[in-house]
Amino acid sequence: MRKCFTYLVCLVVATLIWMPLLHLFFRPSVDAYVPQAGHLPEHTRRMLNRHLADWEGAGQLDDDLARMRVMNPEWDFMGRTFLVLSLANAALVDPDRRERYLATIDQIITDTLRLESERGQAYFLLSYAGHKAWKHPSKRSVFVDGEIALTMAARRMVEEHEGYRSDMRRRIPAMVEQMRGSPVRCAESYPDECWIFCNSIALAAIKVHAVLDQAPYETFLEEWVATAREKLVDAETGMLISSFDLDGRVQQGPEGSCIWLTAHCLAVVDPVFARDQYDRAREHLGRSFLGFGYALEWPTSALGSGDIDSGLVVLGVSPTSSAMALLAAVSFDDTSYTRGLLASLRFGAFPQREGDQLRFLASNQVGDAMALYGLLNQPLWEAVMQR
Amino acid sequence: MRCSRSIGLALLCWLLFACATLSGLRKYVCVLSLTPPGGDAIGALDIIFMVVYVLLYALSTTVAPILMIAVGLEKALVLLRRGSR
Repeated sequence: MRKCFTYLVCLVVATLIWMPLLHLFFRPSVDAYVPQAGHLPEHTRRMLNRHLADWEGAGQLDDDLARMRVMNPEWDFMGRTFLVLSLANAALVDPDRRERYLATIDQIITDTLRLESERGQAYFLLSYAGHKAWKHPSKRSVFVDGEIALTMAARRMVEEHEGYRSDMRRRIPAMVEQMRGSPVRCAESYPDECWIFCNSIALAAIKVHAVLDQAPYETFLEEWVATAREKLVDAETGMLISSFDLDGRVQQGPEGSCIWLTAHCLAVVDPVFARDQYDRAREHLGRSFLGFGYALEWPTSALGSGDIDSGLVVLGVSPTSSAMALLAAVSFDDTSYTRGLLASLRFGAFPQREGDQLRFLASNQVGDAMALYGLLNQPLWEAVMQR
Repeated sequence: MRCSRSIGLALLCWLLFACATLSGLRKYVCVLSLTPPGGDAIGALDIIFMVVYVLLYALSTTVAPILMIAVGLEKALVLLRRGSR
């Protein structure tokens, strides 16, 4: 009996010793993943190589995209966006491989524009896009227009491209006109369904367009932030809501899969408002346990219902929200949270090294691209703010 | 007796995890990202394999080391008691 008690005490003490130590085996220094002073860290370079190999024909891109499209065609599209943004950032910190990065960026944008033109924007949308009528006569989705515009803008921040310049000069004014037409200054992602995720990406694209082409949108951007503060903020948490109809009626409250990226995009539009949104998201959604960082999908005060973008939500913890939290934590220089999130990524995403490539087995192409952009996002925004 | 059972259990966790990895079960963790490992939709077998692999991974990174540390602590206690006598 006494021996049994002693063994149980030993088990409890062993648990108390081991569990707080576990994260140390997975917790890297931020410098090992996030570029510092113009140096692209080896791990991040390997993550980049996995995508470059795919698009250069040595990987399994078609298979990856097909498997993702079975679940959600949006992932195919977002995977392209996150990758182009990562490559543009990489081109700014790694000039030796700049031409290779630019070639892949152009390949992705050209292929995306081809698909948009041949199959329509619906090719990248979930099927319910066709179940309802669009409110705006253009029947265009700001999800598609915003991300395409931002990828072109990012490419042009590295090096000018005349074709993208003229496309942006058509696409962005049409997008702004759609946004101005709504009382909440947001355009539809799906029929009568506006997402803050898509509209904030569109705002970042508008901002970069304003910087690159001296386009007169500063007043619109200020007006957007003022409207959002007044009409699109959740009363309980102060965070921006995720989706709403064209008149601003709430469809989904604040969500981790939206707010982190929104804060990141707003950082070039209104840094003060963006920081406020990040701090609120950190308070209501950002968590750490035993040295591992993670993020909830919904604040405890306003539990929402899961959708496919939330991923596999277990006890409120969302992999998508956690991956997006990494993007925001790096973007807002939150070092301790970044380290915790990286520890979780290394512990829970099953990294697999193959030669000079690194992929995460618990992820897919869009997840890997999202994680990559999470680490490689600062140089581009810094370049925009410096101009 | 209890000591060798704990060590055996910990070794079994690590052995099973190594076997699962070598047999290719690792690829099923992509189900966590709601992506099917094959070309079609996610099937029941995909989910079972994913759960088995993740469980073995969790056991080998948490339970197995805890069992080994507990054995070490128990041994240390015995030695301490002997020393104090």
